[in-house]
Amino acid sequence: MTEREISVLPPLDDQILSVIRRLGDYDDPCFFMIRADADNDQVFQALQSAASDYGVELTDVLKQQAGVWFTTADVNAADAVDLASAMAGELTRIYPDARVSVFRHNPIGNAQEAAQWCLIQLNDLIAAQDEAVAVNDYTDRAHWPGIDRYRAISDASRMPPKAAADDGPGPDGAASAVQKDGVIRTLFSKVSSILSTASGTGVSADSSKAGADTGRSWQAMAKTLLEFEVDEGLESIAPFIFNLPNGQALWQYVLSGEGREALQADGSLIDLDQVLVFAHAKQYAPMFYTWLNLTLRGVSHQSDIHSKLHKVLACVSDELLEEEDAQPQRRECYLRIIDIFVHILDQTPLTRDMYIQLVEDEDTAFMTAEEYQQRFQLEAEATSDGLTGSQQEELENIIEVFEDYRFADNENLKSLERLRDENRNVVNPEFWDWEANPEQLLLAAIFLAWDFDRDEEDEFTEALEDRFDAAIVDKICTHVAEVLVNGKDYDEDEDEDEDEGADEGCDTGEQTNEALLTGLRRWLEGDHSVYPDLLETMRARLDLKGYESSRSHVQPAYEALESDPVLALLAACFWRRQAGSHEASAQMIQLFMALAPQATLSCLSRLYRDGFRGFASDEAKEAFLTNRPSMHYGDEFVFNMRMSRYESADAYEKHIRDYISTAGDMRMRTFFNEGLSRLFPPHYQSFFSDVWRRFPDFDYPFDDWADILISATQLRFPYQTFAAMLARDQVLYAGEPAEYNIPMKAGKTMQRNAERADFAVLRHHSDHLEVVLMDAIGKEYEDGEYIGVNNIVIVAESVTDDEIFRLRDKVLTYTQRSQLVKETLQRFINADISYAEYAEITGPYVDTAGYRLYDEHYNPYVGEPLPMIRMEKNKDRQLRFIKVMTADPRRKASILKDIGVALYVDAACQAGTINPDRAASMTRKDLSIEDINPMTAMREEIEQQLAALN
Amino acid sequence: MLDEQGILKDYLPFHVIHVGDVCDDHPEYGESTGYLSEYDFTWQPQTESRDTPQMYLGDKPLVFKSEGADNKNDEFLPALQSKIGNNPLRIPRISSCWGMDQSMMFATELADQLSFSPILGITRTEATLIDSAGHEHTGFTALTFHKALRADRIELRLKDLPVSERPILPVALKDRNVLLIHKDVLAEWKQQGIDDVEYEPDEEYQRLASLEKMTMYYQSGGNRDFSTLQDYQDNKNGRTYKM
Repeated sequence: MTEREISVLPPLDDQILSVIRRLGDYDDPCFFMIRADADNDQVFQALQSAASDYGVELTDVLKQQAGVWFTTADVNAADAVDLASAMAGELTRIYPDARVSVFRHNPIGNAQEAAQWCLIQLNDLIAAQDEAVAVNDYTDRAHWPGIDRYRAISDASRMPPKAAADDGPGPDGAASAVQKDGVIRTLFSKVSSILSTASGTGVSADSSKAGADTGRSWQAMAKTLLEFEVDEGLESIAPFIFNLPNGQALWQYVLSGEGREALQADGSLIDLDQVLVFAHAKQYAPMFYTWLNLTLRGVSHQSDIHSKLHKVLACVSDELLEEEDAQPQRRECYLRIIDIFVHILDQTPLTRDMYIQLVEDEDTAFMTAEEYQQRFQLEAEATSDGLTGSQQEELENIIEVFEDYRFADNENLKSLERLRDENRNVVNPEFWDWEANPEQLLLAAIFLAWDFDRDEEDEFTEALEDRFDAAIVDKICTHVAEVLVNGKDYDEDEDEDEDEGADEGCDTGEQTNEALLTGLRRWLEGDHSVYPDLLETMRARLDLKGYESSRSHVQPAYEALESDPVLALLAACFWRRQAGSHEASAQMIQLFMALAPQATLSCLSRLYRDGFRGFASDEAKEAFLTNRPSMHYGDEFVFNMRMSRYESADAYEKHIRDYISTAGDMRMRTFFNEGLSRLFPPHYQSFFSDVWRRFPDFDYPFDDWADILISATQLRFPYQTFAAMLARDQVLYAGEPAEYNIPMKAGKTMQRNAERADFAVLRHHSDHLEVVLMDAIGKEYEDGEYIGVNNIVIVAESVTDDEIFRLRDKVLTYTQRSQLVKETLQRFINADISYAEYAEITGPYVDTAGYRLYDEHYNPYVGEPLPMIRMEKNKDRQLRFIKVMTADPRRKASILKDIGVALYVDAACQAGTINPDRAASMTRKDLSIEDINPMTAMREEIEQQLAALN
Repeated sequence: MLDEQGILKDYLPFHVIHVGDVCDDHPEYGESTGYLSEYDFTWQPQTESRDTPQMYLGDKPLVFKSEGADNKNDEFLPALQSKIGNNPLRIPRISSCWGMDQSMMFATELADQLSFSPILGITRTEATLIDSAGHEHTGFTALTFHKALRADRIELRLKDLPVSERPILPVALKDRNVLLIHKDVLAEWKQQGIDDVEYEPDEEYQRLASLEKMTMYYQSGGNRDFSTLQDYQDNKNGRTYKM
């Protein structure tokens, strides 16, 4: 193993390849590449010793090369880090310079490549002579270093050795490499170098020689006709064009613009549809062929070339659109290259990406919309319904996007506006296949708003208004009915002959829903008297999102605000209001602003936003804020604060200062805090953390620490709790039942488990397993049967019936366990009991190894432990939080390491040596070498304090 | 197609009938078990590249292996070979290439009956097939459909083109591409006794508008199952099931 930097993918040993090939499509193990100059047995024993502490099963330890070993394990992110550290610890006993590189295979990626990347990471680790362990695990978002470096190596390694001779597909992962000018140039230089080395194998690197026998070379023509020097991009594509049928005339046209009429007259342009881009490029333009392979990942359908034409032409667009000398000629040249491709690709209308490049993108655009329209609108004749084929298609595309309203954004609105400006006929609902569905109502409302704003009114406006008003209330009721608890399709025509449930004297929930929908209809029709009851019933009956949401949360997450039809209708109401007062729309918005203001504002602002980021532009921001619904101070502050995070650091900073400035105005501070409390806790924690870093005297306003800790605490399952109450040598197995080679018999004193406990307890005898305790439900166990329970605990023969039955009653229900642990936590944090007492009470119920500082699966309705620890001003309480989080000796080191970095960064931030903006996201890798000693000293001090804490 | 007036009115969807399950007695237990499936007649090109291409340019011959070959374990392969007397498997005259229907495998004698205008963007690649029992077959041609034309483009560009140069048309619908085949070609194939295609697709498949709206559409005339390997080899007693 050398220490030089690896720049190509290293080969893997055959045995390792064989292990990798056996992986299934969904397997995502961690690969371990280990550096240790020791023999196989020694390495195996050291690794097994480390793995056994974590209950992890390693695959065989295989030799990759001298002193480098490979194994794999199915481990979660936290175990991967700690296991790697434990392995390194064990290995240093036999080889002081041991290193462990861990790389998780992403099942959508290539496993062989991941193992090769793991080896590269090991090489980096050895070269750095710093850490003993490096982990690249994409599931551990908080610590994931990314894979850019590795992808670049893969891309470089994948350059075909004989670009022109290889018709295999291009690499995956290359598409991201086509965006930047620098990368493009690098790729071209690589392509050139590959081709020149391949020249000895019969592949011509000189593409000028590949052309038709035309008498003149493309270079000579370019030299004569162009005012600028041909660079790599144009050089790559030139032989492609020059060797098309009638290529010399086409190339002349590209360079000078001359001869288009003749090319049209003799069919040279239209007949380009006989050309297959990949086949032609392979034959005549090897550099362009390689570029196509990289960009489109292999030989592709012509429609894929069309849909990614902006990427395909990226090889020339930088050179022709972003260079300043001879700019007019470069631009015209680019447009004529597009002309060529448009004809090759069956004159299919260009994609939106091409429009953006030529009309909208400030780096590249140079045409007006009208010029674009004139040049590329190939279907000049309108179809019978008043829209061209491409306009019809674009309209349908926008309607389709509105069907998934959550994913719509300002780009779609701009497309719609452009389409409307292009052809007023799009406003005519006769052409929409009108079904009054939510996306069509939204479309209608947008057109109505624009007509109102521009003071345009015609028969289309009237038609839209009539159709919208006729449908909106029914549609709202229909789609709200779908997102109610026990919701069902609401039939707006159903007669009111219900009350079947009432006859039986019970409310099944359907009646409540019916009453709610009646109230909703009356509200939308202007009956204000129903509002208080309606709001209360909606809060009680709207379905919740996911199992973790709760009506007890300050802001429950309603399924309604995830439902595309409801969202589209809500947005439709927002737009309809912009076309003059509209009662049903105003009532709908008022109702949802009361139910969930931030989610409603997110919905209403969707078409003004840049994807899931902030406002798409200042104009979009202004347009939304001008039309925004009325709202509470606190909600307005929070919405603006959310948007400001995307806008600029200054805009966000202003909101932090606005918040702090309410210190002397408790009424306003309360409004703001109420608004913030409606966000997901991790989001308000993030805001408060930013406030606290700038204003260390700030007091965190919410009392949610107990919820955070209990959420971070991993409660054991009942069978685990039962096993944990026994001594280690009394438990032979705990887990899912399997086939056993000794018979299973019902015990003479067999009893049932406590309510809701889904496990059985078996006692091991020399010749059989005795079922002592069956799960709470199900049929009686009979000798020899397979034990059909979810989990079993097999105990030693020495464990008596009495002991088993006694412990059964201590397992408790989930609510009881949760309550007990929560109360005990509170007593410990408040220093009412010692840590030993806390640990004794909670021990059987809590799996301390499950504690995480970062966990993607944390309940989003509860805050996270690390911000809580960081913002805690009471040092004793802070230490107790840390004590709880570091209870497991295997987890302690890594959790403490992260906490240590965070607290050190915070201290430095408060001392003014680190900028608060940076502090929030800093990790150990962002610290300098000078920080290591003081940070280690701080961590050691915490460790001492933890040890002294009783 | 029933909803078309121009060129396309003389075409039908090109629905291949694929080999389905081919069963026979289990080598150990005796009960009927599956030996072959459609994967054994879905062809993957063998390339040095890490990835498996779906489109071929036709500039050099390729070797294809059945997708199901790798799934034949040590128990089944000898049993399969033994049951077919170590003979090559019968290969349908039309079968699938791996991927998104961008290429199809034809017996060369059949492919040679078809000629295509370059406007249709169809390439031919000489193919050698290795079947799931390990036997090599020559005389096959992969047709790759590199493009699909919109209906209006077909009217514009193909109206003066003889039918003989457009026997199969790749047509671009809004969200999918479909292959249509000229009724004359189907009639000719029927006369030749080719049973790998569906000659009378259900009416709902004979309208572009309904093909466009279908949530699922597999360009398939169904699967043909066989109860014994010998029946499969003899191409008799097959039962066709529509999807």
